[in-house]
Formats: sequence, structure tokens, C-alpha cells
Amino acid sequence: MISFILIVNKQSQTRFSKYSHPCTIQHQQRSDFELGLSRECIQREGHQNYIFNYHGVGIAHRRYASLYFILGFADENPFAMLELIQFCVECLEEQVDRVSELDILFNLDKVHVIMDEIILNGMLVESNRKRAAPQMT
Amino acid sequence: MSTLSIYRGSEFLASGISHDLMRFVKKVSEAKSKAEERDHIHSELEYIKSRIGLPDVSSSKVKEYLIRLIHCHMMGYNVDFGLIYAIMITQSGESIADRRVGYLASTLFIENDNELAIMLTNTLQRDLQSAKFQDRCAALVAISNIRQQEIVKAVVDLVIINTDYQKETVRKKAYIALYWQLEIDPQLQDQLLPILEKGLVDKDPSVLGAVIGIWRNLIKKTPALYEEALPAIINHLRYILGGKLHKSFDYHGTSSPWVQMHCIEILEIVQSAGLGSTSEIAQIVMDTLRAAEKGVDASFAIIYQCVRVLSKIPSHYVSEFIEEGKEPFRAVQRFVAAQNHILKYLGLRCLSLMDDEFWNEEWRDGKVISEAIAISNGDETLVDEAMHLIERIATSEVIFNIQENCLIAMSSSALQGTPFHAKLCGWYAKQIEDHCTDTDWYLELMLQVIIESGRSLPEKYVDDYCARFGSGNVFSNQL
Repeated sequence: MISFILIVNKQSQTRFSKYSHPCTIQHQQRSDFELGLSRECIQREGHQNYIFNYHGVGIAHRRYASLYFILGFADENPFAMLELIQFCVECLEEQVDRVSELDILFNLDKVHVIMDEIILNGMLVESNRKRAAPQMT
Repeated sequence: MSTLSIYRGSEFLASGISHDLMRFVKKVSEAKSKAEERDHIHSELEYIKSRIGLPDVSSSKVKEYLIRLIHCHMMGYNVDFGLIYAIMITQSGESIADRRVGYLASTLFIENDNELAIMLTNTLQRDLQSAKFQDRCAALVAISNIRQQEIVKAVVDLVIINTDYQKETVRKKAYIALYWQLEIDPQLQDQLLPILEKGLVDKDPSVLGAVIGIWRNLIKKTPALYEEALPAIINHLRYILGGKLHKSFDYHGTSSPWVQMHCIEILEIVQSAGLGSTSEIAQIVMDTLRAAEKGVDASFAIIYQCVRVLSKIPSHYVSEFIEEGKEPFRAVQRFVAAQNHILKYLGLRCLSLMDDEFWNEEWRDGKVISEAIAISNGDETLVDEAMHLIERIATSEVIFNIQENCLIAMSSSALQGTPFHAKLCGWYAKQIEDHCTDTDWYLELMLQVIIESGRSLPEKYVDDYCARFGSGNVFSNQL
């Protein structure tokens, strides 16, 4: 079960967040949670530690330029989660230009729609890159 | 970044958003303090509150206001007032994009047990029967993302109908929506399980992949459900391994890796529960393993999944494979020897799953495992795994063997003074104390550890040791 997907920048600001509804982190707690988690990821990235546990949640993260993609999960193959992040980034790249921080900020609704094509409320629904494009017209 | 350069920047142009939205996003993202951000957001929320309900506001303008509200919501602010407009735009939005944002905002802003949630039901019911598949997709995505029970009951029949729709993109979302509805209301089980079974014989591999993921979760909860599902799952796994899936399902050269892993995971659950045919499971896991060894990236994750299953199978099956020359664990060697942290961690995880009897000779003396400690550079996950493995095989000789690698890590100037360093020094000192039986090297090694530990070991501990060394009472608290 994938509990959440986060994209944060180097200053630990959240640029994209998606929580599945089994995840019990309430809206009011999320800002603090995301801040703590992203700091943890940034620090561990310096030690090449991409898989770890944070407050009982499995975490996999990868850095792409100035953005950190973080996947929170329970009871999943952590190596599969790392590859899933890469897959998501490849899908985004195909549809949102370069996936820079600005691209995500200016296309927040589009990023949500694309992510919903791949992971729907924490369930992996599509792993074919061509088919993971939302057909909006 | 100046406003002018953003206007001309490709990101802005490519996104097609308005100048207002861009200015808002820029203002908020560049706020220098939490207080400044709060001020921007509050004035923005007031502005939107005063505009969004006006009669002459266009559908696309409402969509833009909602996107700004989504930004605010993401930053932790309360945007409850926006929910009603989100729901309204799902009803009356002019374009599919407008309505989709409406659904997105609705599912994000909705809290538990919100009476407004019922208002969504009408639109969902309408869209689930729309002539446009895009509307059906939008509705199914929204249903998966909502947890309100009342909505579930009102739409379940329409969702079921969508599992037969001609487009795969609709069918797979319908199955996922059904799974979530089942989770919310388990009493739907009798009605929904047969539908989910039907999903296992869907002709489209995308739909099948999604349904297999669903069955993984179902079987995890109730292993006895495997019986109806297993033939189709093994069938599909063999289909993938036979290279019969279209190339578009490849990820870095591996065909449909996550679906492969879900299949293997189901086999693991079935095997652990003592169900199914062990020999059949063992065979197909070996076949998957063989195929995965040729690949990279996601294939490594598949290998890990296979090793997990092999560790649950009675060891005589594995021994038979070894006798037949099939070497089930040969990939593990590559991982354990890797310099890359992720691969090394993968290798060590495999070692911890494997029975001792299947370990290579070179792993048993601890040196190779302790390499992980030497290269770790503060990677706690990797080092924790190495420590557990060393403790599992710890003997006086092993603890002696790993000294070079441990001392390398301890002498790293970058790690001095960190909690990680303290943990490592304390751990190795304890291992020496617990397992060493040889006075010859014990003294010298403990001294080296104390020297390299700098200030990381507690002062009293170090003083005690020095006192014991001085008095010649080396093994006073040994064994």
C-alpha cells in the first residue's frame, strides 16, 4: 500500500503531495510531517541512504536535480518502490516538459491527474508508460 | 527569478496558465518567512472567497481559483469554503478539464463525514454513464479517492457496469474503484468478489495488471481466497515471462516488472499459509528468477521478491535446485559484492532471508559483509543490516575478521561525533566483549577501537577499560 507521494525541493518546501485515504496523517499534521520527512531525506541522500523507515512508514526517495521524490509505503518491496519513483518521473517528463520545480508548480492539477493514472489511491494501476497518459480531450 | 524572465520562460508558456495564477504561485513560493507566506495566502483566500461565488464567473475562472485553493490546501491551509464550488464545477463545468479539477479539488478538500459529499453523488452517477469515456474516468478516479460510505452505496452498481466498458482505461479504474468500495464497505464482498474474479480473465494486460494488484491485497488479508485466482495469476506470469506482452509494457528492458512482483508476492503469501502446490510455486519462482537475472533496475527488485519466496519454501526444494546445477542464489553474490549502496543493501537483505546452509563460504567469515560497514559513509539502513548479519554469525574469529572494515568506518573524519559513529563504535566494542576468546588480539583491538572512537564512546566506559588494561584484568567481565 502506497501511503503518500511527495515532491519537495531542497528547502524542504512541498511542491506536490498526494495521500491515499488509508493513510492516517491528518491534514493539519501534514505540513510538519512533510517538513520533518523531507529534511530526513535530504540528509540521508548525502549518505546514499535511499530506503529507510520514518515514524513507522517505509520511505523510498530519489533526487532529480533540485527536487526530491518521496514515496511512503507500508508492506511493499522497497526496491520496487524506488523503481516506481523513476517510472513516475519518466511519465511526468513525457507530459510535463522538464519536470523542474516551476513545471510542477505551474501544472499542479496536471501532475495530480497524471499521478492518478499510475497510482490510484495507493494502488498501482498502470505501468505502461504510453497508457499512463491521461486522455483529456 | 524576475517576473519578466518567468513570463518568457518555457515553463510558464508551456503550462498555459494565466498570469494571475502564475503571480500567485511565484509570490507564495518565494515568501521569505512562514509569516509572509501566511499573509499572502490569507489575502489570496479572502480574494478568492469574494470572487468565486459571483454569478458572472466563467467555468475556467472557477477552475483557476480551485487550482489556487489546491496550492493553499497543499501548504496546510483550511480551504473548506471552496468545497461547494468544486462540487458545483463537477456538475456544470464546461470542459472536461474544468470538471476534472472540480473532482480533484472535491476529493482533496472533503473531510470525513461531510454532508456536502452527498452532493457529489448525482454528478458521479451522471458521469459514470456518460457517452464520453473521459467523464467516466474522472468519476472513477474520484470514487477511488473518497472514503464516504454513503457515496459508495449509491454508485456501486454503476461502477460494476463500467468493468465491462470497451475502453481498458475505464475498466481498470472501475476495478480499482470497486476494490476501494469493498475496503470501505466489506459487506459488499458477496457482490463484488465475483466481479473481481471476472477481472482476472480480462483480455487487456493493463486491466489484468491492475486486477492482480487488487488480488494481492485481497489474498494478503485472506489467503484462502487464492484458489479462484491462482490459475489466472500463474497464467499471466508465464505470459509475461514468455515475452508475449507488447514492448510498451517494458520498463528498462523488463516486461511489466511490478505485475511480475505482485504475482510472486501472491505466491509467497500462498506458500507461507501452507496452501497451494509448493513444487509448482518453486518452479515458477525459479523461472522468474532466471529471467530477472538478465535484467537491470526493476529486475533486481524481482530477484529480491523471488528470494523472499525461496526462503519460505522447505529447504530440500532449494537443495534440489542446487544439485541440478540451477544455482538459485547466484544473483545474490553480485549484489553482496556491489559498491552501490542500494544493491549492497539488497544483497544483505537476501542474505538475511536465506538459510545459512545456502550461504557462500566467503560470506561466513564476515569480511565481505563488513565491507558494507566500511563503505557505508553514514548510511544507517545499510549498516544496520550488516550489523544484524554479523550478530547472526558472530564468533570470536568473525569479530576479528571484520576489524579492518569496522576501523575504516570508525576512522572516517566525516563521521566523527555523529550519533551514527557512536552507535557503530559502541556496537563493535560490544561484539568484541561478547565474543572474543583470544587475549592475543583482544587488547590491541579494543585499544584501537577506543582510539578511533574519539569522543563517541561514553567517558566512563573508556575509563573503566583503561583501568582494567592497567591492572591486567582483561577478561574480568568476559563470558
